[in-house]
Amino acid sequence: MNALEIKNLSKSYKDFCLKDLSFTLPGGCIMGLVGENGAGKSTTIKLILDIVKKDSGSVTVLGRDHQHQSHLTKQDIGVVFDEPAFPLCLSARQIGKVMKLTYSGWSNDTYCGLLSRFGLPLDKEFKDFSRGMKMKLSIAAALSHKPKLLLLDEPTGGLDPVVRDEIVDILFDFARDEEHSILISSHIVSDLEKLCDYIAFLHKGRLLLCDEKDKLLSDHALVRCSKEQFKELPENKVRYKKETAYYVDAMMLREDIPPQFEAFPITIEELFLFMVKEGE
Amino acid sequence: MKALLLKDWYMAKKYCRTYVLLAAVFTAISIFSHSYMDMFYISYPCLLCGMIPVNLLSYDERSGWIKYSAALPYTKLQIVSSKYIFGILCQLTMLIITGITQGIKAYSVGMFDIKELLFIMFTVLMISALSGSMSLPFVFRFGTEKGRTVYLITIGAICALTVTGNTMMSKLMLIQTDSALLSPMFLLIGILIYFVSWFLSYTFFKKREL
Repeated sequence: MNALEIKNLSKSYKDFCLKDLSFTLPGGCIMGLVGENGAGKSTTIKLILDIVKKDSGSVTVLGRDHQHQSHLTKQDIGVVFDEPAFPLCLSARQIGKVMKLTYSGWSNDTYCGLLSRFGLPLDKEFKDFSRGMKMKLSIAAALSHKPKLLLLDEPTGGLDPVVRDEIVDILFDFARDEEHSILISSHIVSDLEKLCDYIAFLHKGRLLLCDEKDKLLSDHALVRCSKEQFKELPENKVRYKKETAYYVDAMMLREDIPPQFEAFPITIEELFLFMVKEGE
Repeated sequence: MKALLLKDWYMAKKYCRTYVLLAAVFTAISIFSHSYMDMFYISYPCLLCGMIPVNLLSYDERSGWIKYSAALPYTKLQIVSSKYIFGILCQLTMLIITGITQGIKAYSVGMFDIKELLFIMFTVLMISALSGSMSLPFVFRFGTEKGRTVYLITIGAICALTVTGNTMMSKLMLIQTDSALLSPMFLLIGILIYFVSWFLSYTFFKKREL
């Protein structure tokens, strides 16, 4: 079963429009939503959760329409927003008690285990937590009710590399189960590159591309050459080029690169930047 | 629903201590006041309790909980209802305390009359029902910032109503109006205000994008 099926999803605001978004997240997979600030990543997650109303399109979450008895579907979803949002005066212990009454599948052992693993105090108020601690607590709460799908909106934003790495490890552990899926948005592409099976590029409310990460990395490559050498490349096959004073970088499909040129592997971040610029 | 009520209880314990203190002071003044049945001092603690849900809602919004709760397995009806139920529980608790203290006061001066006591309690219920009920639908519709303007207007309106109520009550006492008739009427008005407000809040919140 697919964890998420999104078809022609559209939403218009006065100054922003998410248009005809379609992608599928297969069960047991991790998909990264990559995009600049304001690309529509958070809007997509809010639309999936039906926090904001779609204008058109369909969203199926864990085999059910997202608007049909959404509170029941949400029992199987763990959510982390970019800004952790528990009441500021509550302690981790109190949050645990509230969540126990919220989720039918809540496991106090899992929650306390995660708090202990993260080194989070039980009785300190949420407002006194650092940003990293708040995010870890949000992730602990999102993982402690046996969710099948995690929706994470910029969970690593503004965190130091050590905490980010810890969070990535936790998400890896979660994704080991074949029934578990994750949709994670971020503009820190390196985190997504480590974690994801699928990558979707969003730019100005449009989906530029959505494919398996390994396929993207194996299909695309970078050619670095002089300006003279660049003229030998088939012009219509160059997806994007970047010129500097010393060389030209050309992004191409690996199969289109002439044999006399050396193909360098491309990173997801480079691919995204090239595609954004190509789109512009 | 239980989860939302528990969360509100934790928050009220932290944020509404001043309310409890003020309610205690006003109740004490109403007990020791020489003026029998001074409606302002009697109704003010209940009126404060009616404001607790609005206060909690503004904290919810400030912390981002409102948006987050929409991502949790609660329905919008549960989110709205939890605030009303919590408000009712606070107000009923305060109303019972008011009833007991005013009853003891009346008994101690040999003026205890159950009909009059019920009349006071239902009048207080009606006034306090107005306090939260008038502003909650606007806060659910527009959020705390814009809703605050309405909140201030509400406070002014309620103060005016309290004063008018005080005067009216004195007149009603003078013309010996049958409190047995007025009491259920005030009770019904109080309940009606709650349900209309509840319905409006749910209707507004259902449509609101967070």
